[in-house]
Amino acid sequence: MKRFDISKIVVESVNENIPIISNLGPTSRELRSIKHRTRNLYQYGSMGLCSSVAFGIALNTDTKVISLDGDGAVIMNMGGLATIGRHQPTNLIVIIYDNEEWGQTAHMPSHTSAGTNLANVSKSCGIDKSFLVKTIEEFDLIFKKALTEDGPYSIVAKIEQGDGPKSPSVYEPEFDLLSFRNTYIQK
Amino acid sequence: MERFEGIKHLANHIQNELLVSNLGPTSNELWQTGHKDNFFYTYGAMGLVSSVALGMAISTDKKVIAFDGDGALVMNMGTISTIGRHQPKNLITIVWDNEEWGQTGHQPSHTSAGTDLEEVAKSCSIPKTATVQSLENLEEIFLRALNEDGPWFIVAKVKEPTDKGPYVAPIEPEMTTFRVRNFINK
Repeated sequence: MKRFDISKIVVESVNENIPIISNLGPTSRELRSIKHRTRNLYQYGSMGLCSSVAFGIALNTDTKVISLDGDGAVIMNMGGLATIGRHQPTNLIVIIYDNEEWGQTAHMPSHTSAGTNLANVSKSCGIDKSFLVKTIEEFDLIFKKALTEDGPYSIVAKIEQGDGPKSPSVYEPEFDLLSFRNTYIQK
Repeated sequence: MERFEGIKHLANHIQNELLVSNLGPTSNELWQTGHKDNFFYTYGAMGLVSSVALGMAISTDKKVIAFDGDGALVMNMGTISTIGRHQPKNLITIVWDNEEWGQTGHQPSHTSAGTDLEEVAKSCSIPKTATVQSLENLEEIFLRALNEDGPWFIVAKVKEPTDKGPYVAPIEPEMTTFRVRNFINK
């Protein structure tokens, strides 16, 4: 399965007010090309912090919050999972796209290609609802459940390497942040 | 079990191995048990003990032991994954787990609230793992680890001492590096 197809399911299954925080690079660019929403918060440069940012937002809002993270990024900041496990934000859904490589930086195989199972790590950090999925059907089933039931959820989706259709990467972090924030300001 | 006792017991068995110790009280206590030139005390590099030990382990045939802490390891959990990936047979990681950041005001750490570091190590495919509560079990598993291929990952549950720990050891980082390098090249 491809990351693009899963992101598409995610975007199509949630209503406009659910924030989606996306990992830097192709994950953000694909998300933007699927559908740009003011409650998409694309990460820039802050590799490894996607789920931590989503966690911070989850603590401050009542709606579900979705993080689209990656295996290489999570390994850079694995403690982020322990913090989520500790605080148990019931509204947080972490989706980890696991292509077993650092795709952007010349396809170096990542630790998940060599022994590390991030679903088990999540579980070991106290995130009881941790799953590893290999097909779109499996993902769809668990994600729909995650949208209606209390979490936190950690869903590791094993995906094919390679990117889907992407938007251009030249967009402005400050502007995206401003429009994202504005959606939370009551006028 | 208190960490100081545990360190005393294990340090007795360390002769030709290299030992890397976590910053703060772990290094102070290790110094108090009797300095040896194969002890590498880290300073300031919180979270990097096991990473430094991993680097040593892949560049020497000696056994390398890391005295890490739960608070430090949670800061750099990815290192467990790196160890699991490289499978250094000669690396033994001991985590002194007091479930708190003792130095900075006894804030409870993540291991007091859901995180099980031994399970994390297993999830990162480290083959030999254990959690021990008593001195006897710790010593027994440590002696096994010294003689059997690893990598080993041993979580030693310790309680924080009620009295003030030993005085700050007069250790100079440059001298530590110099001594340990000489020891390896001997």
